[in-house]
Amino acid sequence: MQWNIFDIQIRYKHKLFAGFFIILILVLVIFYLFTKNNSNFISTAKSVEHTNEILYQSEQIISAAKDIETGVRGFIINGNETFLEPFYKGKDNVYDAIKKLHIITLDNPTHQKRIDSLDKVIHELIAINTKQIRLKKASPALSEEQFVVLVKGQNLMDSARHITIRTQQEEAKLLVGMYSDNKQSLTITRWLVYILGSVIALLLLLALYLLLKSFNRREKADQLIQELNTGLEKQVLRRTAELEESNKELESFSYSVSHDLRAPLRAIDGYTRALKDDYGDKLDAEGNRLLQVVMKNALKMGSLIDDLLAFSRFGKQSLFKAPINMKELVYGVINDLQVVQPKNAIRFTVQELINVQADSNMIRQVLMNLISNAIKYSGKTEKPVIEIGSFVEGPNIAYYIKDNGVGFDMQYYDKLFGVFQRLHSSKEFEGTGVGLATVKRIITRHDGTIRANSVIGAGATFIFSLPK
Amino acid sequence: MQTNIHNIEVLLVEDSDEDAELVIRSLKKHNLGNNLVHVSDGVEALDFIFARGEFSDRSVGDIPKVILMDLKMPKMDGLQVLKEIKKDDRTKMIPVIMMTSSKEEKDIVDSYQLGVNSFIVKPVGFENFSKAVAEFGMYWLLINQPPKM
Repeated sequence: MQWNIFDIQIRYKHKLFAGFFIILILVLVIFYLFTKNNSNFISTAKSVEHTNEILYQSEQIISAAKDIETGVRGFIINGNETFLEPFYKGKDNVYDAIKKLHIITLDNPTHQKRIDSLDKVIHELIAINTKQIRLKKASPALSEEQFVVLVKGQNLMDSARHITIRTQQEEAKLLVGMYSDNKQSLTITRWLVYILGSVIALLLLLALYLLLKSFNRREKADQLIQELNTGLEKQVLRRTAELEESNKELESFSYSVSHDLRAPLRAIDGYTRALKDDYGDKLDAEGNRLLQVVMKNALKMGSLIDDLLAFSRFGKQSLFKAPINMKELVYGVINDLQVVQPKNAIRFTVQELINVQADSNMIRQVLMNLISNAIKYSGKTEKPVIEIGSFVEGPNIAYYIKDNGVGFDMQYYDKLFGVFQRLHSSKEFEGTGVGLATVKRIITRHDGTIRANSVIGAGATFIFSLPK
Repeated sequence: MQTNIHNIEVLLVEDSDEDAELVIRSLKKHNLGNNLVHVSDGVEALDFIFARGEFSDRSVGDIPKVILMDLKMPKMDGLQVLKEIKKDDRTKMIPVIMMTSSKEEKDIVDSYQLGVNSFIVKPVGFENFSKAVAEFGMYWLLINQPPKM
C-alpha cells in the first residue's frame, strides 16, 4: 500500500517537473519573440523617420529650385532686383539641402548617384539663371539668347523635379516593402504567441489538475495513515493490556508457586524429620536411609522452585543500572560461597576487573551462579584454580570465569544455557538446570552476550560481556 | 494446644496446621513457648488480641510476649493484622515476627514499614526453619526485656 503511494508520488513529481520546465521554455520563447518584434518595430520607426527626412530634403531642394526660378523670372519680367531675393535664398538653401540629402543617403548608392546628377542639374540651373540675371542686367528687353536660356532653365528644372520624384518614389517603394515585411513577421509572431500562449494555458491547466489529484491522493493517504495509526494504537493498547494482564497472572502465579508449592514440601521435610527424631531409633538403618532420601528430595524440590522463581523474577524485574565496583562484588560473592562451601582449598586468582554500569543485584546473581558452578565442577579436581578477569572487547567489557574442573562436552553447547538442561547427571553433580538459563537471561536483559568454551576434563571458561 | 488463654507467651497465627505444628515442635524442642496459643487466621488473631468474640473473657492488657504470624492467610492477611496491632496504643509494643514462604521484596518492605520486629523466610528445609524460629524465640522471649506497660 505504502509502496504504491510513494511510487505514484514520484511519478507525479516527474510529470509536474516536466510540465513546469516546458512552460518555462515556452515563456522564454514568447519573451524572445516580443523582444525581437520590439527591436524590429524600433528599426522600422527609424527607417520611416529616415525616409521622411529624405522626402523632406528632396522637397526642400525642389522648393529651393522653384524659388530660384521664380525669383529670376520675376526679375526678368519687371527688372526689379528685389525679386532676386528668393533666388539668393534658394541658392543657399538648395546647396544646404543637397548636402544633407547626400549625408543621409550614404547607405544607398542609387540615391547617391541620383543626388550627384541632381547636384549637377542644380549647378547648371543656378549657372543658367545667374547667366540670365547678367543678360537681363545688360539688356532689359527679352533677347533671343535670354529666351533660349529661359527654356534651358525650364528643362533643367523639369529634370531636377524628375530626379527628385524618382528618388521619392524609390524611397516610398522601399518603405512599403519594409512595411509588408514587418507586417508578415508581425503576423507570424502573433500566431506564434497565440499558439504558445494556448499551449502554456493548457499545460498550466494540466499541472493544476495533476497537483489537485496528487493533493487529493495525499489527503486520502493521510487519512488512511491516520486510520491505520488509530487502529494500531488501539491494537497496541489492547496488546499492552493483555500483556499486563498476563504479566500479572504470571506474577501471581509465581507468588502462588513460591507459597503454595513450598508449604507441602516444608511439611514433607518437617514431618519426616519429626518422624526421624521421634521414631528413628525404632527404625533400622535402611528405614533411616529412606527417610533421608525423602528429606533430600524435598530439599531438592525446594531449591528447584527457588531457582525457577529467580529465573522468572530476573526476567521481569526492571533494571536499576548503576556503576558497579566489580572487584568488590566478586570478592563478596567468593566470600559468601566459601562460607556455604568451605570445601577443599580452591585457589582464586582475581585479575584486574574493569567497572561497569549494570544492575548490581542481577550481576551479583550472575557471578554467584558462574562462580558456584566453577566451584561445583572443580569438586573432583586435585588442585582447583578459579581465575576471574576482564578485558575490553569492542564496545563491551568482557568478564571471564575460568576453572580447571571437569568441563563439559562442546557437542552439547547449544543446550548449555537452556532451562532444565543439564550436561551432567545429578549423581555426578547436584543441580537444577536453571542457573545458566538465569545467567543468560540477566545478561541478555543487559544487552550483553554470554559464551563458553571447554575441553572435557580440562575445565571450562565462561565469558559474559556487558555494554560499557 | 494450650487451653489457658491468659498470661500467654506466644501467639501463633498460622493457617497451615502442619506449619503450626512444626513451629510449636521446634519451640518446644528449645523449651520455648510453653504457654502458646495457636489461631488459624487474622480475624481470630485480632479477636484474641483485642479480647473480642470467642476471646471476650480475656483482657486487652493481658498481652502475649511475642506474636509469630504467617504473612499469607485467608480472610485477613498478616499485614492487615500487623497494621491493626501497631495502630493501637495498647498493643503496639507487642513484638511481631512475620513468617513467610517467599522472599518477595515487597512483602518484606511492607512489613517493615508497618513496624514488624523481625522477618523470617520459611525455607523448605525444616532444620533451618527450626533454627531460625528458635533463635528469634530465644531473643524475644528470653533476652528482650519488654517495656513495662
